Amino acid sequence: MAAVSGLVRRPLREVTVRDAINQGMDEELERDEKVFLLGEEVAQYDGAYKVSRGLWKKYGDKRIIDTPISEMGFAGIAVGAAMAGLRPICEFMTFNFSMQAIDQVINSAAKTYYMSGGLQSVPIVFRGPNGASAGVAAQHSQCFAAWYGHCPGLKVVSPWNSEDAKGLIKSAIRDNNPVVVLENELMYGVPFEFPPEAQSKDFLIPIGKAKIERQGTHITVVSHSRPVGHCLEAAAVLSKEGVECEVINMRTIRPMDMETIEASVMKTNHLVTVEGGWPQFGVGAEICARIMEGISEKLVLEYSQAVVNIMYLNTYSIKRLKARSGQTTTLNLSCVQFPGCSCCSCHWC
Amino acid sequence: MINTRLMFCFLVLTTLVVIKESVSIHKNRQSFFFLKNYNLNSTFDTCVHSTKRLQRKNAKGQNILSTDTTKEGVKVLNRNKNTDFEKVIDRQITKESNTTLNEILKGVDYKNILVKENYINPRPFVNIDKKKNMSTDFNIYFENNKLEEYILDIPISKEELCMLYEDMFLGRMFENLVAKLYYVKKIKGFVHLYNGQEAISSGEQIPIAVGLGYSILYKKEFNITDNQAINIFNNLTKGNVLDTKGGVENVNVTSNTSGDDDSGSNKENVPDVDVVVCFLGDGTSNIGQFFESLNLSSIYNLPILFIIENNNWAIGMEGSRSSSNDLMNNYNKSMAFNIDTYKVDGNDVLNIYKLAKKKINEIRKRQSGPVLIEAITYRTRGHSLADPDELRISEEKVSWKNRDPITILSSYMKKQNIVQDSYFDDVKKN
Repeated sequence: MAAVSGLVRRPLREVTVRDAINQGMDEELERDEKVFLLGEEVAQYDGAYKVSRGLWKKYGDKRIIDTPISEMGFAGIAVGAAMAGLRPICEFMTFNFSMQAIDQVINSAAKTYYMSGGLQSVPIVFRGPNGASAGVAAQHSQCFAAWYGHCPGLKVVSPWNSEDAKGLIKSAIRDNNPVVVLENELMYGVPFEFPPEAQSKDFLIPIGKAKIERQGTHITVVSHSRPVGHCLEAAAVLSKEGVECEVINMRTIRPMDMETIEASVMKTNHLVTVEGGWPQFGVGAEICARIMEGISEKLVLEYSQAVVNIMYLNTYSIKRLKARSGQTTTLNLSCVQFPGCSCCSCHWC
Repeated sequence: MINTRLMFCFLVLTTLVVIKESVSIHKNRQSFFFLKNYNLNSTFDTCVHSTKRLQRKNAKGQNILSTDTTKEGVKVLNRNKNTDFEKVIDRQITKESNTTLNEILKGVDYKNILVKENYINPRPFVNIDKKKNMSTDFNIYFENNKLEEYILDIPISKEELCMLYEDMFLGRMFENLVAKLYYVKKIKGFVHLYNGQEAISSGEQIPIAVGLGYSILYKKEFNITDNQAINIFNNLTKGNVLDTKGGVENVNVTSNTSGDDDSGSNKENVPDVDVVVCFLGDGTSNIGQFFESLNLSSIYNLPILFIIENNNWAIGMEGSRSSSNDLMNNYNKSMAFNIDTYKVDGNDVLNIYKLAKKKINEIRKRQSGPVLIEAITYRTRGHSLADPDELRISEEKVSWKNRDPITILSSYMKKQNIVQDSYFDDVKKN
């Protein structure tokens, strides 16, 4: 079966993100009969990106449901099922299609607990690939972290590696609130080492805690989802030149873990945020604003630079930062060459 | 001398004119070939489009296509059809033409190409024990009096009648009270009242209340028991948003579960929802979400009952301006999805009650798939209390007041001598 084959095929305990999500969903489907998965091409096609491979053969038609192309319709069905007591996982083929159903996600799912005075909870999970993929053009490359992170009542989660993916999807399914899981299509095929704790059936990652992937002293780099890998590569390059970066993997976007970030910035006095979304009103802008309004009085600010937003960090811009390493600034660097470019990974910046 | 010269000039001019005209006719005949696609032979007199084309003029004022539009001209064209090209073109124009296409299509039986048995349908979640009565129509109109035949066999007791009357009366009183309070500014926000349409909610809620069911309400409606109504009343006056139920907004959610299955399952913790009832208005029956939910409920055979409360007005948009279907015929939308549809008089509680009872029982026993009921009513007040209601003619409003659901039921009860006259006074006091 798919859940086991992931381990058998890779004796070095390297598991791809795809197999990790598959394992997580498989274990939760087995554990609780109320959990079911619905989406486009999840059953007989084994998933549009083969994430739900083998699940239909194991659980059948009642648990793994193919739907027609009506996002608002099946998102509404999922929300209704959650209100009635089941625990659905609603898969969007990409989160760009969730815009068709955004009324159901926000008005029907997120606001119901508040509007009913705590009486009606909606234990639903919306998952799917988010952000840029390889050459899929503007309409299929949007990052929805900022859109969903704005809405109270939702929890928004963004895993990077396979350990993140498995732990977060399990805790999302067990959570009684509506959770949006923003995966990344380009990470599905990337293998990561799986620690032994992650192979247990009760491996959960708490929603609302960030992880420090790499310790450092000179500069804090914060990101979520695929750019975390880029940050770690850049950090490796810079460490040869003597600059130690502290890389933080946010893991959750709402509720955001500001304590980790603040503690790190107190230590280093430098901050860079990296994400795949657009700069204005984005996740990086929110982090910078909170740092500026929060602990900036405790830091020694020699001068504050205007916020310039980043979309795609490369090592050259970090080198520029290093040249100014004597100054204490908070920068959210951006790809200034193409402001407003929807990142289709063309690598121009 | 002068005569001869004149004659000579005259002759020269006429020859020139003749030559010129013959040349022009010959030239323009060649441009007629493309016109043959317009089927000049049979529809020449009635084809406005082609005549207008023919009359188009260029900058100098000359006809671009200087055709002879008289019948004699057409006869001239028809005379010289000896070439094969012209014969072929003629064949394409006449009705007997298109022989090749017709020959191909003769042997094809369209209905049997796509036979459902050949396809693996998405398996429904509910195994329906449908015994389709082939003699009944797919759709039943109240105008043709077929609805009464369909629901003849359902009895109504005196207690049920009284319950219906009291329910509707309570509703009317509640709405009027809310209006009074709004004008005294004790209630804020939007107030959408339901005067004139109480029959639908009473007729549908009571059969649901007998078993479990979820109903999502369109306008602000009251609940059945007095206590709950009083609770809502208190909450409105306090301005306590958190406790109001039966939301004020237009909620149109297909809430249904895939957990309804046959008895004998181990799902003890899952509430066994028998039937779901979804109310909506004629205006929202145009939204895309509605059609998606019809499609999904049809393929999965979900136990859902859609009710369209058709009062023909959505704030200020009349039905003929907003919907492309025939007036007061919104049920057509569900026929496209193979859903059982019914059309009812929304001001007659008894019909609605009997039909709802019958259909909900069938759905509970899983003998029927999704159902849509269209109820024709009228709202006597405006859409909300902020609506001046100037677009509706006063004659229309007056004529519908005669069809008030409460008076219809009370007159029926009086005629059948089911209750005494003092009953109605007692209800008013209590």
